[in-house]
Amino acid sequence: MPPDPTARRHTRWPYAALVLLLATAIAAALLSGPVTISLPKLASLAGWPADPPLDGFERIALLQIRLPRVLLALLLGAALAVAGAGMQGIVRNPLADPGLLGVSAGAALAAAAFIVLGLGPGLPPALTLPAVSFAGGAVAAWAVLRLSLVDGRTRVATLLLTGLALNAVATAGIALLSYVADDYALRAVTLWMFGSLSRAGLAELSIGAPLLLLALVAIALHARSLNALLLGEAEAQHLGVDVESLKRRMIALVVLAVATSVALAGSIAFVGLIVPHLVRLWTGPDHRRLLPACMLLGALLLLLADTAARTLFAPAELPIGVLTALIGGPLFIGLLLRHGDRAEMA
Amino acid sequence: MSLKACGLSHAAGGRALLRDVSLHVHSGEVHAVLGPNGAGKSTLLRLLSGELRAQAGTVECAGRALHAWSPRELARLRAVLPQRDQLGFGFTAAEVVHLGRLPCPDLPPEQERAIIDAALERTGAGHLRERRYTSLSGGERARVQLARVLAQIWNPVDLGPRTLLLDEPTASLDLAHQHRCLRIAREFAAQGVAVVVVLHDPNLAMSYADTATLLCCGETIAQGTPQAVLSPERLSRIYGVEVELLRATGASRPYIAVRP
Repeated sequence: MPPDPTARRHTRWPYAALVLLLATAIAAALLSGPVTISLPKLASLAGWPADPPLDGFERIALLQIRLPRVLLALLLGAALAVAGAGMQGIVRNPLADPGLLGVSAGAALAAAAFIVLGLGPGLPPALTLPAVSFAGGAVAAWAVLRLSLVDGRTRVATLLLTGLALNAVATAGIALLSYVADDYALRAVTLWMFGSLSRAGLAELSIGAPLLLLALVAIALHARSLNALLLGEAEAQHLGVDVESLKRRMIALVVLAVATSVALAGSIAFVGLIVPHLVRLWTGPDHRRLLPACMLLGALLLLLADTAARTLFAPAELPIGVLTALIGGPLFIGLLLRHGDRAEMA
Repeated sequence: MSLKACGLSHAAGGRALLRDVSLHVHSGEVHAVLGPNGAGKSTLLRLLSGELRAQAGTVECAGRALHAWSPRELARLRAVLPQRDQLGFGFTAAEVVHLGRLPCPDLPPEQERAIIDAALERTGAGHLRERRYTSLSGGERARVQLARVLAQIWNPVDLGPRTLLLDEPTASLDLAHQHRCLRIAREFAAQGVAVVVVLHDPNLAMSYADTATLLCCGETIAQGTPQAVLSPERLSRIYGVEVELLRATGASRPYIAVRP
């Protein structure tokens, strides 16, 4: 009998390749920027002898500006990809996007209102803006969840439709705000809508990292229950999974990851949708392999996108969401065309 | 008593789907549920499985009310095969069966593997082991799903007698696999499992079930041995077709035939 073409081959080399690429991308991101730092100088941080050694200015650029930004890009990419995979597992649909919960739209609307209307005068905007945005995302997600509660159960179809409606309302709100905004505010709103890590510093990292790590680890711990859920909600229940509680916890974690990421860097499109897709082609749908691989690929892609965003047209900076959408959109269409005949695309 | 349901009633959208249905299945018994489309067979099975909470009546599994069990414990002694399969992700057949092992305490990998392989072999799906579920035909999927629920309650547990609920397991199976499926039900019953199986074919019920319930319009029409329940007069009345009993020479039981 010929070998079955649909048999899955469990290969490990992509993990190794991803880790290697990740290390290279991190080094490249740390070295590139307005102040060029050579590789030996970077290595000198790890005790390697370098001549001439890292001067004070370079040290500040490296440790206080680039490193926090690189770390945040890695965490955001991993969190967005894992949140996307988790969301797709919960609704049992590989086309779901965490944005469907209304988090990104709500967070962006709150941020736009804050920027344009100048609410909360006298408060330091550097930290108030992320807080306002986080609150906006959480409120929107809460509203979507409340509205999709039918007979005490979260109805997935209603959830998706409510999220869609809320997205439309929020987008309209942002459009209205842009209409009354002055030039400066308009620019700030645009940057927010398309995402940017330009504000990412040590303060943002120290607030964001614990939240993102918590979401990442907690989602990954639900891998086996998520696998059972793919069989169907009743089937998962019969396998001993408390489906309602699983859905609530997962949605809370996805909201935490997405709201944190929008609060820190604005809305970054497509990472949550495209990364789990790409990864499923290689790992299959088993969340125990899917989620760790999503972390690696999500982190790599967002770091590459951010490095490109800040270096391509330096000193000007591209919104990172523009890059992820420009790359992600065609890639997604390509995947659909190639694998569209297989409903599960994995 | 492995499975005991008393006075189950359920309504949805102002329409009564099930009225005062009771059911007792002992461990070691195969109980068939029959009835025309829309008679409430699936509703009954969903109430028995706890997927729906009955508006009136009680369900006990292994001597304890359904909701008194923790979901995990219940899953260790009772497996449910729903009618409709919703899996749209590309697990391999072996991975699907492995999902059935979720509530079971972890065994060494080679033992888990042996159970998965044995369950697939048992349902005639051994050759599908590494095939992607989404590439399988309807009948092949049904056999993989059956293997999954068998793997879930493969070994006896100390919590009580095991129960197996099957909702139209033969619906998409060919002739040979229909009989194979019910033979498996009998073999599990012989190990002390209480089996409830929703069927459409009265002849399968006559051949394999110990007891049967005939439902129509949400009510119990008859309950007892399949021979007593599935009388030609009753079937003619309920289904609105002409039914007669054929007796082949040497056969142990009559065959129910529908006049075209």
